Amino acid sequence: MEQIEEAVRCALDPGTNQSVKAEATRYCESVKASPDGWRACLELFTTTPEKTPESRLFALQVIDAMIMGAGIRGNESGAAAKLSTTRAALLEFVSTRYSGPSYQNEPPFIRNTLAHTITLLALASYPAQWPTFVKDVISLTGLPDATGALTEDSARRTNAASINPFMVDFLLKILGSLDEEMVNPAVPRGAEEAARNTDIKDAMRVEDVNRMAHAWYSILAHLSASRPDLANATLQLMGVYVSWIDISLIVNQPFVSIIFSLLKASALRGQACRCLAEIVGKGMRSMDKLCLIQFLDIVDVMNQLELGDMEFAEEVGKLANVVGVELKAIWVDKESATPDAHATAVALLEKLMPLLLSFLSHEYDEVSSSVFTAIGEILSVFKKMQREGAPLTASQQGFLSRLMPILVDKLKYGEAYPWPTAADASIGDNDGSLDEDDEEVMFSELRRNLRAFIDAIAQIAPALYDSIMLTTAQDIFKQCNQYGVSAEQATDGDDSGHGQLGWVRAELGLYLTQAYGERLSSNKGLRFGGPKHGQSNGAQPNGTGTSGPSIESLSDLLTMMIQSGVAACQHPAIAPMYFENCVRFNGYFDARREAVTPVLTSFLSATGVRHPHASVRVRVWYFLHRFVKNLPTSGLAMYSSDFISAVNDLLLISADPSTINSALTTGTGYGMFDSQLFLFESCGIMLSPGDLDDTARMSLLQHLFNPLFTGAQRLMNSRSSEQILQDPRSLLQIHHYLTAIGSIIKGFPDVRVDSKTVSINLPHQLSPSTAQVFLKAADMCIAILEALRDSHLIREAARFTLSRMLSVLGAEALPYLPRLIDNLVSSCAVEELSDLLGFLGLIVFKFKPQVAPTASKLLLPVISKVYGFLDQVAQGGATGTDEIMLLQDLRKAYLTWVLAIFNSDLDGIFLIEQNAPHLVTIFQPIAGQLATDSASPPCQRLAFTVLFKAIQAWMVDPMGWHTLTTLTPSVAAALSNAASAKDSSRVILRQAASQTLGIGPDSESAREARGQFKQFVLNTVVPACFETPTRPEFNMADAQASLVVSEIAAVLQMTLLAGRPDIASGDGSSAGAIPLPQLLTPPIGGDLNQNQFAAYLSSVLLPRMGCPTSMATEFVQALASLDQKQFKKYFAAFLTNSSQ
Amino acid sequence: MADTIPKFKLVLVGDGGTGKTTFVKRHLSGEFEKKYIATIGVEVHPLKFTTNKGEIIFNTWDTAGQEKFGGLRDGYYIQGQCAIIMFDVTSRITYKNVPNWHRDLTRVCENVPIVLCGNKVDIKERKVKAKTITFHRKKNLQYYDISAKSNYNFEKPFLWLARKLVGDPNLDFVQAPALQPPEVQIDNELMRQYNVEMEAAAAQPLPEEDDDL
Repeated sequence: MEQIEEAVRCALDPGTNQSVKAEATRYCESVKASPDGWRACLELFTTTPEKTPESRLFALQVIDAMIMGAGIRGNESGAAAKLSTTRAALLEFVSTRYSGPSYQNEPPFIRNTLAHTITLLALASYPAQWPTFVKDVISLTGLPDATGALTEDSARRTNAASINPFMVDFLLKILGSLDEEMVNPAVPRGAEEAARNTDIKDAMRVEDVNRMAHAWYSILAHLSASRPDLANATLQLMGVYVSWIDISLIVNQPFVSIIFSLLKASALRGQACRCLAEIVGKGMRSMDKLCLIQFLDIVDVMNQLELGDMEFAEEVGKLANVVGVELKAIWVDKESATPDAHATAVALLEKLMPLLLSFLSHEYDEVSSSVFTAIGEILSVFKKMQREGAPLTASQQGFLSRLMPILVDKLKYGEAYPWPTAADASIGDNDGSLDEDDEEVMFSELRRNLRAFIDAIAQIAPALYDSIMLTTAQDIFKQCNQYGVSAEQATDGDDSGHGQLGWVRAELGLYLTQAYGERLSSNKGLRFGGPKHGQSNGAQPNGTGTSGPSIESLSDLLTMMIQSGVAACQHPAIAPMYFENCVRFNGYFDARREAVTPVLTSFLSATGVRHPHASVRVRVWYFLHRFVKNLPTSGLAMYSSDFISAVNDLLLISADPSTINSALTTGTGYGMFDSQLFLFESCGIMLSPGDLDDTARMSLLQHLFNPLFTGAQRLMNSRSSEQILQDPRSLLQIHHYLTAIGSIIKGFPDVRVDSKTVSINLPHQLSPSTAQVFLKAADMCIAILEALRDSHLIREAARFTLSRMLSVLGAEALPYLPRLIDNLVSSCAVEELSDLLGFLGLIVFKFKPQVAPTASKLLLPVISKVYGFLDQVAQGGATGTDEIMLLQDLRKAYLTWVLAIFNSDLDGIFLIEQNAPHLVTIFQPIAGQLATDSASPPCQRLAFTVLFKAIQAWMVDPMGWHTLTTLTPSVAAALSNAASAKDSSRVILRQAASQTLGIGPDSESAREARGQFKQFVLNTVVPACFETPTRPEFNMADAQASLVVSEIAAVLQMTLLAGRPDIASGDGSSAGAIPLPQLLTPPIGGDLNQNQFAAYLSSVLLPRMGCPTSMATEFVQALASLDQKQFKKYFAAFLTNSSQ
Repeated sequence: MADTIPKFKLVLVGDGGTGKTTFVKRHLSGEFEKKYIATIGVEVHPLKFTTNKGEIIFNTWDTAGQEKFGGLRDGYYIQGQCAIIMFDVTSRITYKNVPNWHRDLTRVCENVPIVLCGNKVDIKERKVKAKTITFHRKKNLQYYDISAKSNYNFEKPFLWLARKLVGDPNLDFVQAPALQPPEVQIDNELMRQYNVEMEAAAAQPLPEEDDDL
């Protein structure tokens, strides 16, 4: 024993040296593992003088391990004797050592753990080996060991003095532990364990839970005054046990009257309330539940409670909430509840409603929100009634008209809401962490809930909604207009509505405007300036003739909002909501052009982009960007010059080096600079209108660009590239300059690229001088990238900015692409490569034939970079989750990029002279690894899609008559017409791409590559089609895997098509005459006797895989005769059969 | 002076591989560990924070999550004054096991403040969604999304515990703890744009899934 004690001490002491600690830990493990370790530990635990608490805890762990080893029902051989020995020793220990004050000297964790150990013993041996478990533990306490109906007498017979409070405490611990181990739904359990627990509960229901109820009653009756802690624990325990015991054990006259009396005991009333809530909420049939609620007469009981204490009010609120929810459930239960029961439930609910409303209007949000569920459920019933055309009763309408003003009033900010000071620039998190100390999060959650109720009322009673929303908001704006608004005072100057408006109601007015508009837009969409009132869209619900929310009302409200002058209020609650409304309902400004000037003026004022609160200021920058972006460019030119000079001094760039390392996943990457980018882009937008005088534009543009150009150049010239690369601050500053340039350019509209032709001479939207400035910026950007490409920051900035140039300048910027990609590919990291592949995919898709020559040169370097990373990691061996994810992303990005090449009809870039010899090398890993790796079905699917396209491109339609784009029926029809009219002047994209690459489909290299590809398909791709889905790790039942099967089926059908004699032997010229291969319509494959692939499949491949000839023939028949969907089904069944 | 700095024993528990060790090591000078090395038994790290009320040290007991390295398990919790239960938002089973950890922990440490942390929120394929995380509400725990890898919310659990332990809701950290620089940064302007454009233009449903065909 001493050895164990010492070993535990060493193992737990963080100061012990590592090897001793490891040795001690091993020793402890060996005790646990040895067959008789538990005996020594039982001795150690119970012996006197007591061993250290640590070693006694360990002893209990060893005993626990023995009990677990005895089998779930304690029936492993020899277990019964061990369990019985342990039981006897521990009960003896409890009865002698815990019955007196020495109980208090026992460390709490030992008491808890021993209670747990005894619980484990009971679970393993009750009822078969230890039928008297409950009786035994109750008899230790001096509480009555009684069964049968509970009467007030049964408790009276107990002598209070004979009750041992120490033992009661320990009993409650055991019963609590029993709940956790056996019932508590949060704890995960296996099926076997659950079955055993059901048996135990059934056995306990015979008599033992009755025993427990008697014990609980005695505790409440005798100890509530002297030991409220024990009574409290008992009430809590009853709350968890009601879920599975006969409710009449607790819901009876004596018990209920004692619980109700505890509602007046300040130390116990909260717990008594929670216990009642559990009782009312117990899962029962509707009729029984109604009886229960009537028996308890709970509504009246609640009405009589003194609710001055906030915490108690919250508990009672929760109880009222449960009662409401249960009554509603009876009300809507059309199956098991009778009409009479419905009527009773409705009557009770109506009796409850005033109580619910009084909780809802409570000044504390915790109390208010305690009844949310009940309010929500009542409203959902009303909504359903309204949908079914059942009218609300007068009292229900009365409820709504009392509810609506309460909800609107609760939407207000509290006066004590802790607003950040002007200097704070905190940015709220938006994640799963609901910080209860975070008032901002809690308040927005509260508003979200209230809004849902208000929106429900909008649906049930549109006229009520409309009138309260509008009058409240209108009154606020009128008052603001007339008496002004205060940023310092939260409340109004007086209560009459004739005094200065406080910021709280000012914000409410803005919020209601937003809510009103959002509701409208989610319902009907917002079309401002439509037909005037009266003839507006006649979608009045129910044809009740009552007026509901309308776009005119919103429009008028926005006019009042703008004219009210509320925007001048400095309080941080006002500007974000005001400007958000302007952005969200931007359609208003199309109809009311005259409102643009005052709003833009507010934006550029001291309470707009220069707002004293830093966090509000940057938010306004964002809204400004959204606002100008949504305005029609035609009206902007008149503001351009004033706009630039108003924001000019906010554009100063000063890199914040602390952001290099602290850029978080929330996208707050570069601190304030991120928000400045909105201003830069806004400037770009303001300079883009076609009707802006070009001289003015050039001068303003120079004004914006010059500080950025000279700033970047000064840094570049000050030192060598090597030195700059060593200086994170300079790199960050240069990064910011480049990104700012990109953002200004982003404000200009994208060039239209007609990718359907090879012509690059489209009319330019940019003036030539503007284009010149942009090209100069591109030059600088590339030069900086070439010098500093080893910096991740610079690569990021260059990619961003040059991709904006490509969008705005179009083909004119394409010459920069090879230099950009060369530099990025040569030095990028894995995660950048994924992004880069996405970028390349986009470029390829956008420019199609125009970018073919560039893309063809980049092909091999990019691919070798991808595999370089994949191999490097593969050799690195075991990795963490993060790296696995990174590589998964890379594989996906790679396949998506290859697919984008096909979808852009640029398959020709694989066939140019430099690339053609590598064709099979490129596709080998796609078919051999990516397609077969079942760890990622999305990747598998992409891999097969790529193979599908490649087979179409090079084996079915090598002349390029058909597009490889993924088809929709309408596109297909259009293309089909185009293809059938071959003599039309329409250029076929794939052929156009080949022309720009300077290769003909019949060039030597292309022909040879295609020949090799065909062999590769037969030797590798087709076998992979059968091997992949029959591997054990491939889960056919998985939805994503099922998509993979579809893709494989398509590959097989396409291959069969390729085997058609006229296609296989022809030069491809006939492909124009065959049906569009992407819409494979049966019969596919022509004369099967002549089809090379059919022959290969039925007589070589399938037999080789062990498939009988007849089945193989049937398979090929199905492949040829079924349409895609049918064949997919057939194929899935075929795979399932063959893998059995 | 050093002796007067309040010290609290913090027990860090959760399934193996949820990132407990990585989490505590973010505070230290060690590297972010890309590879997973299971903790044996327990390691204790004194993590020091500077608050507006003075310094505070959390003696953080980083316990082994894996059964096979369990050592003395519950024994490590003895005299714990606060705790963090960690799970991995990319692994549902680690969340399912949270009640077990909580039960074992509270048996030994009664009524101590506990924070539940969902780690690895930087990973896009999140499996345990925010709205399914409800355990903390029933048990009055505080919950935070964290990312040990990017330092996201690193200090939040410690701040909440410090406020509870000191009993002062106005306590704040006055200087950011010296953290290792984050390993991941989100650069997604391009991806976003790419996704929007590509999805709109190219990612039309494949014919065989389209019921209209």
